[in-house]
Amino acid sequence: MAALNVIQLTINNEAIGIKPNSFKFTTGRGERTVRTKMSGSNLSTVQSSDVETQVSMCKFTLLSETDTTAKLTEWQDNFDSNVVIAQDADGNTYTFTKAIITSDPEISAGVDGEVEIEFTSSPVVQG
Amino acid sequence: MTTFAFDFQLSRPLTYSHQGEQIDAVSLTLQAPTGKSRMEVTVLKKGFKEAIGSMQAKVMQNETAEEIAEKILDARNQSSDDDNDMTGSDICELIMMYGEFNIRDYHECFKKLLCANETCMVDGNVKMTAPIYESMLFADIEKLLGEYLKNFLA
Repeated sequence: MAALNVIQLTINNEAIGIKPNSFKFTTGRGERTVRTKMSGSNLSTVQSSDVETQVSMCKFTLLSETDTTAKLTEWQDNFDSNVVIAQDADGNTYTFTKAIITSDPEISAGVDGEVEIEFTSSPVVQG
Repeated sequence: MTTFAFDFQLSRPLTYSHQGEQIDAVSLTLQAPTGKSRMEVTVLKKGFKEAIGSMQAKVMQNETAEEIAEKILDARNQSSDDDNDMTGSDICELIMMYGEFNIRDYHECFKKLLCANETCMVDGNVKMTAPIYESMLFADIEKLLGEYLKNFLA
C-alpha cells in the first residue's frame, strides 16, 4: 500500500497547488473521554464521546503568489460554503463539506513566502 | 437561426461543489463563443471543416456516399439517440474517422474552451472547471463536443 500523499487538492471545483507534504487533516470523529467510577472497592470505567468536537480540520500550505490573497479572501467570504476535496495517489477522496476558515491567516511575502490555511468542516467523508 | 445557448443532458450525473455541499448535476448549459475564445474556437472549427472536406474528398476517390452514410449510421446505432438529425455522437464519429489533426490536441482545446470564462455552466450554478470536466463520462464529452460543433460552429 502506498504512503498517504495528497496529490490533488480541489477547493470549490478548482484545482489548487499546495506545498508538497503540507496537507494534514482530522477525521472529525470527536474526542472521547474515559473516567473511572468507584463503588466500594470496585473500580469501573465510563466512556463518553464529546459531540461538540465532531468536526474535521484540514490544513495545508500555499506558496505566496500574486493571486494568493484573492483566493484566500474568496474562501473567507464564502464563509461555510466551501468544499475541500483531497485525492491520494490511489484515487481515494477525502471530502470536507461546509468548510470555513476560522482564523485570519498570515500572508508572508518574499521569495520563500508561504501561507498556512486551515479549514474547519463537517466530518470528512472518505470515498 | 443563430443559436446563442443550448442545454446538454448528461447520461451520468456529475458531482460538483456548490454552497458548501456536494451536488449531482444532470445538465450543462453552453453559451455561444465570443471573441475571447477565438483561438480555441478557430482550432475546433478548422478541424471540423477539414474533416468534412476530407470526407468529401474520399467520396470522390474511394468511398461512395452510401459507404460513408453506412459508417455514420453504424456509429449512430451504437448511441441511443433516435432522432433523424445528425447527433453530437455522429459528428464526433465523423471527426474521428476523417479528421486529419492531432485528436489529443483537439480534445485539450475543447477542454480549455469549456473551462474558460463562463462558456459552460454546470446546472446553471457553477462554471465548468478542469476537475469537473475530468470527472465527466467520456461518452458525454464526445457527445458534447459534437453538439457544440453542430450548434455553434457548423
